[in-house]
Amino acid sequence: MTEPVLAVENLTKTYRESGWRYRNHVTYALNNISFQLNPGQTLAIVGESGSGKSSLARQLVGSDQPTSGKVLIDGEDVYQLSASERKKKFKKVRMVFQNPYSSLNPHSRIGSTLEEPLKINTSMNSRQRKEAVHNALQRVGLRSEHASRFPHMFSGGQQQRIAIARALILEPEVIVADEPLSALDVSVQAQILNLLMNLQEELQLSYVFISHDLGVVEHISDQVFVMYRGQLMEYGEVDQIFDQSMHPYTRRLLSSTPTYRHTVEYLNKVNSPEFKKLAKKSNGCPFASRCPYAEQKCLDQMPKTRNISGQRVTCHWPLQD
Amino acid sequence: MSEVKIYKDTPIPGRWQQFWQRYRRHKGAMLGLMFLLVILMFALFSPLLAPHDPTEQFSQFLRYPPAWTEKGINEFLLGTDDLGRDLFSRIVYGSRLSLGLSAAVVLIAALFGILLGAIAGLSKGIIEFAIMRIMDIILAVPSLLLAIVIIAIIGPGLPNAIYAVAIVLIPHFVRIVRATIKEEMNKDYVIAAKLDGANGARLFTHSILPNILPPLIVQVSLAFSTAIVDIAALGFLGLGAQPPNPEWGTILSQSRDFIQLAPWTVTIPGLAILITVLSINLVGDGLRDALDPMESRG
Amino acid sequence: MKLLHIENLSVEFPTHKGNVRVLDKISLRMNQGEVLGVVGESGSGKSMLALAIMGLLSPNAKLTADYLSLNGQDLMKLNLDQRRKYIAQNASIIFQEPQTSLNPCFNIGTQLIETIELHGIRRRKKQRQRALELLEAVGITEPELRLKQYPHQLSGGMNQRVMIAMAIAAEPDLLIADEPTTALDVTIQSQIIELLLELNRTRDMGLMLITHDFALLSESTQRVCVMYSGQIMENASTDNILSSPRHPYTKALLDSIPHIGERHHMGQRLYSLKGRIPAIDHLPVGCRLGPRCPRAAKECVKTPRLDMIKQHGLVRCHFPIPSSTQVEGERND
Repeated sequence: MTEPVLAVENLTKTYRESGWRYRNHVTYALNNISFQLNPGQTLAIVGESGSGKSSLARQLVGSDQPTSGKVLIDGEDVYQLSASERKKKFKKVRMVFQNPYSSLNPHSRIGSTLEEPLKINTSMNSRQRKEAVHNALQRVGLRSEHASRFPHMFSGGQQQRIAIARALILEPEVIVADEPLSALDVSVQAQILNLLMNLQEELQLSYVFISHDLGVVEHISDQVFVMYRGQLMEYGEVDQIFDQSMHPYTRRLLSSTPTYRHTVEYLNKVNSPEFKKLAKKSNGCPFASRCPYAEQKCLDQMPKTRNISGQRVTCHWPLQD
Repeated sequence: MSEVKIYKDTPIPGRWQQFWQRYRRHKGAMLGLMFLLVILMFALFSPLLAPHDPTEQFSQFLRYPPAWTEKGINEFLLGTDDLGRDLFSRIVYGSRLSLGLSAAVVLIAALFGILLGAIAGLSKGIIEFAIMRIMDIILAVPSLLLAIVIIAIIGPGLPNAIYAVAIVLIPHFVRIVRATIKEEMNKDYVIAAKLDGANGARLFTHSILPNILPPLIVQVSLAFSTAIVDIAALGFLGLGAQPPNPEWGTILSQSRDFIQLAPWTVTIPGLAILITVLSINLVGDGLRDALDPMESRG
Repeated sequence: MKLLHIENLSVEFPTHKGNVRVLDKISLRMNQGEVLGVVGESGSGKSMLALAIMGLLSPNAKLTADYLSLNGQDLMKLNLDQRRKYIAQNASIIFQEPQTSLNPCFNIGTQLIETIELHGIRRRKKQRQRALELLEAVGITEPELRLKQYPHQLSGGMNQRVMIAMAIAAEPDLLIADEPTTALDVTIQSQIIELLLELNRTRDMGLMLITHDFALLSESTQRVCVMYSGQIMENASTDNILSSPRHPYTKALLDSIPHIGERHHMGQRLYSLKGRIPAIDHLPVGCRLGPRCPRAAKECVKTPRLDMIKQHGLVRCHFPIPSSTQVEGERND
């Protein structure tokens, strides 16, 4: 069994309301969260606004300390380590923000933004740093002459590439991406998603991918962690969550996510020439040519009206949930 | 990513170049800048530009009106005062004092203001509370009144006037620096820099300072004009520069008694103060407009 | 009579580099009670189109059109004041961010009643009654209580419902919804769309749904209009567009969205257009998609026309993608 690169155990974060009126009022941003992330895998954190997913991201990268519980990086509890050791550990978990523009310092050139973590955390000399910056830019599909430009000269997609380059430059094991696509245009989202997947393959990265978009989550993740108001709702392999979700909340999310896949499938079916041909001379079910569930039998044979516990239905394949 | 280039990459102007392009579009600000440059020239090259020594008394030319009036003579372009001193030379030398003193005041105020503002902005709790409440107290008293009170304590004179006006100006800097730092600290790129491992000092110099610079520059220009007015006011009240120093406020106060006999001795230093403050304010306006879009995406 | 009829609508803005054309010869028609989807990415001009129809463009914008009629009235023939009045009576718009569209200083009741008053109900009691009616119509529970509450006390979905209530106060024939659900959570999103469609059905109100999300349109609209860089690229029935998009841009948009039910464990990649949307003052010569288009050829340096394709709709492309049903047929034969 492989050791998880990142794990949390019983992570809890509470905020105490200030002011005399709420003296003993405690809100839970995160309540008893536990999960494990194996190398090269992607864990998706799904939830709506206010579910605590961004708070969770902050705990994972060490920009915020949990109230209780453990954060384990490479199997070591970081809060048992000395401050400098802990800092070093957290360099293996890097973050990509939702809004790429606001995560880049508007007044410093891309090159110096990318060099900054190397200056602070490594003993590289200037030439080595320049080379590392060059490599990181190439890796995310930018050119090294981009290093001398300012953030506002790039499009949103390119800015997010820069943010990813910044996360990569310390050669981390885990990248925590907090809604990295939601500020981007549709056609650019696909570019960034593909880039993330390519990088994962090349560098054996692990991702904690925070998103509200279930389509994207299903596309990229291996495990899915569904949260609501700081609590775990459902956590499992992507197949389990999407095919046999056991939690009503997950089901509700799934059913309310708009998708045109069903429409397209249905249209493709009824538009296919053989289906049309058959439908014309069919003496089967009259609805068959418009039915998303229609099969050969429906075209050949008129279904009989059946009585299913008092309800009458004329169909070969009555829907039963 | 190989890109087919259809357009040549036009070289993109740097930050200051863009700033200058925007500033130039502001006509009033350009006018202000021109005036300010002229005044600056006066200040820098006063010995060359002034025809006479500012304290030299020409006893046969008392209260001569400016050269363009009937009685005026060309030797004294702006006329002479009651002691026969050349007003033009006094104004030119006075610009040195006015600008120089104000610069000193702004420098001191900005230095302490930024320092205190940074401490307040980066700390929480009692330190921040203490600093901000002291600043509130200073702000609660009208600025000139406070300066007078300070001078009453430490005594009149030029250096003391500088300290007094500087102290009055400090709270403005503290407030603006603290507010911007608080705002900046919550921004993603500062959090990102923290995650890069930057400590407090590095965070301040690399991430925050460049971003509070625009409001700070505007504040400096505002403080500059306040400083000129306040110093002149103190001079006028006899609490700042002492005669025969050709400080504009002092000239004004000395000529006050002759306002009916020699109105130009009052009007001209007054105009000098007015034009200087006006042009600094115009420049400040232009700066604010030109620096502001930096925050948003160009 | 058409609800909305636009012929060759263009909008230009003066900049220091000369005039920039943000909408280029848009032609659109909407029938009474129709639901039309307008899809595009940022910078496609879809929001600008909404503002142009509503007469909400900033004063320095220059609007030209061969014909622009709402409910049979040619808007170009009215003066500014008449136009504003006429549009206010016949069309309404809701925006993406309900929180910023509502004034935080006044409670819901005050704002709603102000709108109602503008539409001619004078008596205080009747206004209140109408306000409660409207809140109920948009599915807000406890309307009495909500009237007294302030925008910050309500959730985003609730605020958007209030915005919709204000929008339908004038009983408009056309409601333009500009990204009405982008700022909302998924579960709320579907409720709002459901509400808009219900209003469309029960009040026979034309609905123009502007969004970047194809999936949102698939089940709600009859026709979709795809925009890119200020031009219409494809305008056809929703079914046709979804089952066989003919414009390469439409296809790329459809293919670049990952969907529930499509799993790519084997490291499959999404289809994506290279490059980025061109800046509106820096457009490529000819077809605006040209430099990014996988099907681009020599001819694409000439601007393609928005041509009719039989049994499909309007497509602006020199080399439209062949219909998918035909392709399948060929394969099978």
